[in-house]
Amino acid sequence: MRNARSVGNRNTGFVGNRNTRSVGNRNAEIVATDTPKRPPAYPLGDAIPPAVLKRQAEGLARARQRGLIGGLPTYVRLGGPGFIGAALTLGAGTMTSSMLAGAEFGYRTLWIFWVAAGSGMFMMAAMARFTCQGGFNLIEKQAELHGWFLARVLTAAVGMVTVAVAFNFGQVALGTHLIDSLAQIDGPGFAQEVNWPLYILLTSWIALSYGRGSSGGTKLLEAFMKWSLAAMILCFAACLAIVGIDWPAALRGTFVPWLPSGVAGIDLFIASTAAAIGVADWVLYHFTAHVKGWKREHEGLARVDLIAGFFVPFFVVNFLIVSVFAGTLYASGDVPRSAAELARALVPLLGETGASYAFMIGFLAVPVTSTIGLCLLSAMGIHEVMGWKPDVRSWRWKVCLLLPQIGFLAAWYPSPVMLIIIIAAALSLTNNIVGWSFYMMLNDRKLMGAARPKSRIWNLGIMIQITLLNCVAITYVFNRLGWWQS
Amino acid sequence: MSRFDIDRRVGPMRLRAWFLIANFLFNAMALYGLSRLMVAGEGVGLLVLGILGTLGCLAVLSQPNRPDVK
Repeated sequence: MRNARSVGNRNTGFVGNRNTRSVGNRNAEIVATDTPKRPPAYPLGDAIPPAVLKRQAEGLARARQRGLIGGLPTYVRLGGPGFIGAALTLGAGTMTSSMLAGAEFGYRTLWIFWVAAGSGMFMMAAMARFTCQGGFNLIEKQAELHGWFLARVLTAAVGMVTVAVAFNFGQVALGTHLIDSLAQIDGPGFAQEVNWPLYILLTSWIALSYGRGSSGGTKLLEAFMKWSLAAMILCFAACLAIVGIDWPAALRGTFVPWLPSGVAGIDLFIASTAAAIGVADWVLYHFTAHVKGWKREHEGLARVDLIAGFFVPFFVVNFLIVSVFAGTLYASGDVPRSAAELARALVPLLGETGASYAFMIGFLAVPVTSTIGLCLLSAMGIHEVMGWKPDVRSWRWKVCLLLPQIGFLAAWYPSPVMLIIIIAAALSLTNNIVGWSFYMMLNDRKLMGAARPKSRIWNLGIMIQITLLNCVAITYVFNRLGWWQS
Repeated sequence: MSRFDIDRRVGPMRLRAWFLIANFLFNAMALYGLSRLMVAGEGVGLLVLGILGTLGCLAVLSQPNRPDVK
């Protein structure tokens, strides 16, 4: 904050050229004058009455006075986008990776999860800055500065919409399978081909409520995400309590880096760290924070939300899953490769029926919350691709939101592997370029004014994640060329 | 490094963008060197150059926008 004088907030700064005035020192600092009056950059933010935002700001000021620990309950209550992000990221793919890591390597790769989530936090903080201090629509601004192809195609179409549609097949397949497995513990079962409407109706209803009813719908969805994450943690912790944990090995795995030897280890590191948080998570956080109506005074809340709502649940859930599998299936020989088969292999090892229920319920929360997040991602992404104004009451919004639910076909058919491979390839090759664009925007003097980063550490953190994403793209191409034998 | 304005325009882009491209090229060089090293036991030079170039680019790219330059 050297050479900058803050006005009203220690995270001062302002973005854009309108409604600003120069303070007149030689550093041409620009200060905000219009935070309370600024119109929402994202129309869904209209749902929150100004009086509610004012009360939140007062509550935040009181929470700041109580310190981080004392104010934490307020931060968690007012937070939300971080929890939505964690729920989206903790999907069938991440869980499969975690279960396989525990079953194949025991506790030894636990460190990767906090490194992955930690390295992603810097870009997520940039998203919070864009929302709270920028106050602009990220993709619109990106289109203005870096062209429509980068913004509308690579960020919105590839990074958001294709992810939402393609990856929901896996969530529905896992979710409906788990409903069936739950019903089989003490009963005849509830086949996937029959239970899918239950899954689709529940997830669609919650996703459709988002942004409606003077933010009551937003509260419902956020509360569902928070309680689901709590359920995952409690249920997996209960399983771990039954299975037991080798604490010295777990602590060593958490703090001492280890990788399998050769190319496999490098692949594991690059894929795990770069895949944890990507374009979908970045942009979803930006827009869901806009929906909360967050402005400059909410940036502190946004950062706590990222840590308490995103980083901590992400790490804790992965820690528990890896530990449960390390304590049961590790070194058991032939390990299944899919999430459903891994879960099926684990359940008999848990012994008690209660533990089986706990694992299945906690595990069911994983695809359910991801599907809800993917539906939001789809609606927001399609509206950004087309340049439409989002309106949650319109049929257009509802259709866009429900598009990923085409994944209900996964109740009968296997996931469309070819489609997923093509989309994963597109993501591998373009995520880093979107990252470059956001990094340039954050460091753009004209765009960010005094709100651009003053810290080398922040920029370095973002660059480390971008370098990892570069490595994903490069190893993908090298693989195709036969230069990199994964 | 403190007198170096990374946000100066050089050709069609800011210097910061050129360094992003350079970083990408050094990343590719390091990974190619690593793949050669693992497959054929050669490519150490490329690997070292790629890593040093990447570290250099990261050092430059971590620099914040200078407040004293308009």
